[in-house]
Amino acid sequence: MDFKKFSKKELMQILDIIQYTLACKDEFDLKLILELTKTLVCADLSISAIAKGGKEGVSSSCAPKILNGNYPDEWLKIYGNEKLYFVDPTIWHNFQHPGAQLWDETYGLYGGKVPQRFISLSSDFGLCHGVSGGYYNSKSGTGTIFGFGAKRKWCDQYHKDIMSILAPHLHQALARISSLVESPLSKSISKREKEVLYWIREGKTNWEISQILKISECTVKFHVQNIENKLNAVNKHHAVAIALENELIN
Amino acid sequence: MSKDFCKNELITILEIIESARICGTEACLQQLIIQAKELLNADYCICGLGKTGANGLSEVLMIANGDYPAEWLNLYKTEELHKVDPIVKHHCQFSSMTQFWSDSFRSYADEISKKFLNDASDFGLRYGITGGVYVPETKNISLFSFASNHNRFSVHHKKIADILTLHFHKTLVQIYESKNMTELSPQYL
Repeated sequence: MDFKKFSKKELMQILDIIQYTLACKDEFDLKLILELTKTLVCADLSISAIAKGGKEGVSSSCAPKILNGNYPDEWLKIYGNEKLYFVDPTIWHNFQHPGAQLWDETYGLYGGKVPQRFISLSSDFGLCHGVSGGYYNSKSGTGTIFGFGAKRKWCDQYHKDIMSILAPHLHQALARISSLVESPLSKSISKREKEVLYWIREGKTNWEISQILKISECTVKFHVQNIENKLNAVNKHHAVAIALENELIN
Repeated sequence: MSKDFCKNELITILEIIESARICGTEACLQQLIIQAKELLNADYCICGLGKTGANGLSEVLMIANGDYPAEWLNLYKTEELHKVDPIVKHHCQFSSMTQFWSDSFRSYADEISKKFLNDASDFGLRYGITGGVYVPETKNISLFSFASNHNRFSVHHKKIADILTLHFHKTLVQIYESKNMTELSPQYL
């Protein structure tokens, strides 16, 4: 990397961000780092995520954990509910070619594979152009990605180079605090559903759970069905496995 | 933090950090600390990893010498001078990040320490700055020393050493782990 092409101010910002990543110990710290990086690359919006996956993209059994900078909440809700991480080309690309990417280039690479709905929604929320940096640890099968976007066409190779420099350091910071980052799944599993999951894990039948929780067996079955749908599980035991992996239950 | 540095220093610091990130061999680490030595206006440099015990450094796990005199290193090794080295003792005791040798020496005025300092001075290792990182979980410590026969080290150099020490530490630990097929640090994702 040719650092000489950056201004002194940019070099200072890059160094400061790297040092902040070393000291990052919680979500608050990482959000500050996201904000500093967003300012450096002149974006409007920022986000970070960590997920299990591989060459095929995000693992189907484990939704990404997201630590949001200032992406619109409405977008995140849709992104999670419709599992858009399975069709997001920047996510695919990150697992296959970790590092920095310009969204325009990535979209060009995956062209026809990207659903029109994803493209339209992104545009509706001002996520038309951007740059991402990411890292993938093949030993653990875990990837991180940091996205910086805007409605206007603003980024180029220069910003991609900045992300190349910062991505490995950002990855270390997010990986360090990842256990503290709340999965978007946990918000959608209700307290009662978590209770039902817990008793399933304890080996209780639906009838036994109904007695413990003092609800009808029919209601338990209803909760189980909801849980399976939310976690994309094939049966209740699969749901327990997913919940444990995502730390939704202890 | 970074506003104290001129553009050339920033470039060199970032180049060193980037190289440290991808450095996987002892030879590469040696080159890195030599590059840092130039930035710190030092004449000699060395780094090492050790295990701490009740009385300071109990075991030297690895040394990557930049350009400390070989004769001094032989003496250091044969007489196990890590047990009396005031800089090593100071860092093991206080787990401090970066220290000027002159500050550390104030705490060690006994005859053994004085003899050590005199012997080191004979090899041009009179003044210096050492950065260290102590890992409580493993009780290991890494030290990165930059020395000279002249007192050229200032607060400015300490700031540079503060920045580079943590990056060098990660590199040193990774090299040691890969050489010895062990894990010394939390395995982050």
